[in-house]
Amino acid sequence: MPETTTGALIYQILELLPFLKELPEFLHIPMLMFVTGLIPVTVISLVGLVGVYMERKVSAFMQIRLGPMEYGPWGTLQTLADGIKLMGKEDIIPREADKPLFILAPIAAFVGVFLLFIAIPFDRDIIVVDLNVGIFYLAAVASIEVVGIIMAGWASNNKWSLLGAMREAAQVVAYEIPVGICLVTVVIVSGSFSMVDIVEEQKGLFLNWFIFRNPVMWVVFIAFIIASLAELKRAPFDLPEAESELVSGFHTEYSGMRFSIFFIAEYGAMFVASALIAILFLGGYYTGIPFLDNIDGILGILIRVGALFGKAFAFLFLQMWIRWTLPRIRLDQMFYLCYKVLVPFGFVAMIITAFWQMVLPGDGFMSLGWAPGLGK
Amino acid sequence: MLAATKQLDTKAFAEFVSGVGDSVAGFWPEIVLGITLCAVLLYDLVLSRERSKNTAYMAFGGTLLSLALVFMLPSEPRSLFSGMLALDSFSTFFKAVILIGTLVTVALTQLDKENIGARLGEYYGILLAAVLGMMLMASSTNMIMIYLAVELASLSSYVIVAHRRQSRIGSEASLKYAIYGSVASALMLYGISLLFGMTGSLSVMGLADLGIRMATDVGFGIAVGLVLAGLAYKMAAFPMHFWVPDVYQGAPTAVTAFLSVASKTAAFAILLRFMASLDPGSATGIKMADGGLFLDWTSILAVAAAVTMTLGNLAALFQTNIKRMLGYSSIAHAGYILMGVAALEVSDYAGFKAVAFYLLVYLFTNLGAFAVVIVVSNQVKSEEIEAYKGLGTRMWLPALLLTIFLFSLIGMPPTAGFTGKFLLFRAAIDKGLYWLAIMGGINTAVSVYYYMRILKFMYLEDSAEKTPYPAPCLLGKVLTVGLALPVLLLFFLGAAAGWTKNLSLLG
Amino acid sequence: MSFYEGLLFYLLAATAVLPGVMILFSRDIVHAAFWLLASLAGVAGLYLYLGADFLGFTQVMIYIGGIMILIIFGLMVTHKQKISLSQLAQKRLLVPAVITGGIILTALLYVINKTTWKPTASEEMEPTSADIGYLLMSDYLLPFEIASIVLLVGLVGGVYIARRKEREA
Repeated sequence: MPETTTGALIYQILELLPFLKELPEFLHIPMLMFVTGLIPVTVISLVGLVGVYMERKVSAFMQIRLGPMEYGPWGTLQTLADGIKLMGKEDIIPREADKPLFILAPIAAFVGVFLLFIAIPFDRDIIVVDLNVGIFYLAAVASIEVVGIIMAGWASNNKWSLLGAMREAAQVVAYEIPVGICLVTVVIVSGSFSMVDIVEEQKGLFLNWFIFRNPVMWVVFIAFIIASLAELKRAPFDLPEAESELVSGFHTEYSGMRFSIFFIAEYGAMFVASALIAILFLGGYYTGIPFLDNIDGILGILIRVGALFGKAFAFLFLQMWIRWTLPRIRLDQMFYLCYKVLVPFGFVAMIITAFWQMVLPGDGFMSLGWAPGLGK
Repeated sequence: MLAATKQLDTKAFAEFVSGVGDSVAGFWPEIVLGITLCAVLLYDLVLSRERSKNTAYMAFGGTLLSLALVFMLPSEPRSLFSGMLALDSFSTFFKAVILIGTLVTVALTQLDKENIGARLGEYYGILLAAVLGMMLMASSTNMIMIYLAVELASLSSYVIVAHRRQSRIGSEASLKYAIYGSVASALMLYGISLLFGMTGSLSVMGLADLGIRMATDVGFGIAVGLVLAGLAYKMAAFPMHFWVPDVYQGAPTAVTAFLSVASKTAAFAILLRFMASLDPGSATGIKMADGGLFLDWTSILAVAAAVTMTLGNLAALFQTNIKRMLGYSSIAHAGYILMGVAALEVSDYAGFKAVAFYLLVYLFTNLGAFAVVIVVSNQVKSEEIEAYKGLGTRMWLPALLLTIFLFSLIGMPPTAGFTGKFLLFRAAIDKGLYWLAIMGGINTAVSVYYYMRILKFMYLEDSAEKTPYPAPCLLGKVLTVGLALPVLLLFFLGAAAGWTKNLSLLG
Repeated sequence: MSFYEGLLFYLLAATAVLPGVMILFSRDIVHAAFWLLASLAGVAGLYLYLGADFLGFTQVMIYIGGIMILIIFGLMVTHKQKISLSQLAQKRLLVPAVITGGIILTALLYVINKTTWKPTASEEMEPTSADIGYLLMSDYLLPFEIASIVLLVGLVGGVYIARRKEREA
């Protein structure tokens, strides 16, 4: 199995839950696997709940409405109520559908998102596994969710679903290239694939963040935001589920719990993308203010986890803002943007970054000497 | 922990950079080809779609420059790029052969009216990529490099085979070529992975000492056999020959000519290097574990040679399309050349010289034959053998030249084909493979029938029409005559051609 | 610990092999494609089990994220009705196919069992990505560069073959 660092979450769980040690020995590993697996699932579900509520409120405010107000203060329990309703719904599988694939599809999509959460560092030690190839791992397993979506589109045996799935396949394969270029650029700067290493490189004053590392990193930053929107099939790239053309694309035939799993997976993926933007470019769990970052103990952990969640939700908000502002782009515009804008700009930025790292390795702007004493 | 703290070892880095610099000095021909291929693609993309003829000049110029650089390569043998390539007179010779073949192919493409104007930029770019792959095949000494080189040559070939416009037959040929090719390359890759598992090294030279240690191992034999199967595909030899007729017929004639000589030459170059490290002279081979049956490499290759030439010749007897017939004839010639490989003796390079010389002769002969086919089909608009009726009077020059080329393919004096075949047969006899030499003799006799049939059509049968065709264009005349001259001259220079005498392998 | 290691290995091996068998027996070509995907995922798992983390995730990225999605995409574009694989198979080829397959299987099993393998990798699990990077930029510099030309040819050639028909029409 891939290397884990000593501070990995799995060992802390053993400390936190001493009764695990009293179980018969052969149950240790299954129990540990179960408990560790439970954490991402919980986080995904919570993020899903909050995300859906947030989307409703944000869209409402942008359209000068109130949004959900009935259940709980400000309608905060609305999503929970919807979730309970969806669980109680009849489980419908269309007669002509490809039954095994139809059942498997939402699971595959959810597993894809679940796997993403494993490599997200919420704090230096709060990460399920700090893989040595963390960022590469993320890029690799990001494609598993797509498999689920294509599976759903095929299994539904519905032309809208099939068209949606085909658009999804084309779009995701296309936008993997700019995403990959952006990731490579970040790796050039950080010198490591490990997610924790990448964040630790950005420790210190916020000028250490990768977005300020060299004069072209903001290009990569923007390219990554755009490409991640496309990978997430969020508006304005929501061609795979374009409501006005394809009913609702690949999940047209899905209802009840299966539909909600797709939904949660989508919001989970959105959160991962937002957290990734924060981790790769904006210091991850560090606030950028040295004395806050140096606090030890439980307070420090709270500050850092809070910082990551704060940044991630800011980008979640950005995604919603874009969704309710921009109209959907056409298929050809989508490809144009990818191959003729993002890829060339990304490549140029990557090459400039590589040279910058060769000439001025280390602290970027800091090493230029105009901000003495502010470095790490 | 952080990679940033991992300081670059500057001294090792400087050594590495100077090593790369040294390697590049022996790599200029390939670099020039690589630059030319990018330039051709970019020129076609950016500057011009209309003046596609310019890309032909660019491709020709780049190949010519590359050929000139091959002749200027330093002569002392050494290894390039940490053992990936060998720079020795052996690889230089084969690179030169491949590049000459390419020069002729570029000219043939311009000669072939069927191709003019059809997206020639990409065609030449991909053709040059194929040449680059073949040149790397000629010099690779690492199995990863061999695989990549074969793959580069194959992938490019699949594309240019489909070049013919409005041709379903071309697409079909390309598809067949690609499907058989992927099977062959999968076999080869599997063999390479087995060899890596057994030796722990990817170097071809590393097989040498291992071959003796594991001479009794069936697994080793199977692994080598799989690699050889992949190579047999590229040189159109049994048991991987069945793609040949369809592809040769469906591809544009210039591409067929290119594949029949350059691809074969490159594959034989690898085969020779590979077999030399196995040292077949020292009776290594596959031995069944209980010691009953022993198959040494010499007999395996000899049987492959005999079967290949017999199959090719027998099938060629019944062909009505001249490209198809030349395709089967090319299988037969792979068999003759394998005869030389079977007679390989590392100590005195006996088989090497015969194979190298024959490949040089075959280059001119076969390209010449295909050049005449193009010249004729430009006028006659047909590639059927029937259409050659009465050609001796209606197009006297191409008919005469085709006679020379066919004589050379048969191996009759006074053409170079005779000298080449003589050397091959002598190598086999010196090695004691009398039965193989006799098989070769019988096969040559059989082949006389179908080559002579064309001559019969051209000179002894009359067509209804008597008026002579207009003379071929200047390019056609220059090409066909220019290819016929070496075929005649090499007979007289023959064994005295010192070039193939001094071939030596690195390692 | 070793019990779970063994269990993990056999689970992964089963994930790699059983879907491979299912490819042969599935009637629907799209199902076969998804079984292939599962098989490739099992192979990726085996790589990870052996400590080749970079290779394992490369397998996931290229095969599951790239090739399989494109294969399924291709099937979706070209399919008109459900393609039954059993229709494509020819009964008269069954006997020769089984014999050939049997011979190849026996030969490979023989090779795997009888050969003395020479492992080069160390038993310890170490991060591999840095070493792979150094090797690609030093000893394997030339193959690395040639691979880029192979990819260029694949790219240009693919477009060239696909566009040809369109321009003629």
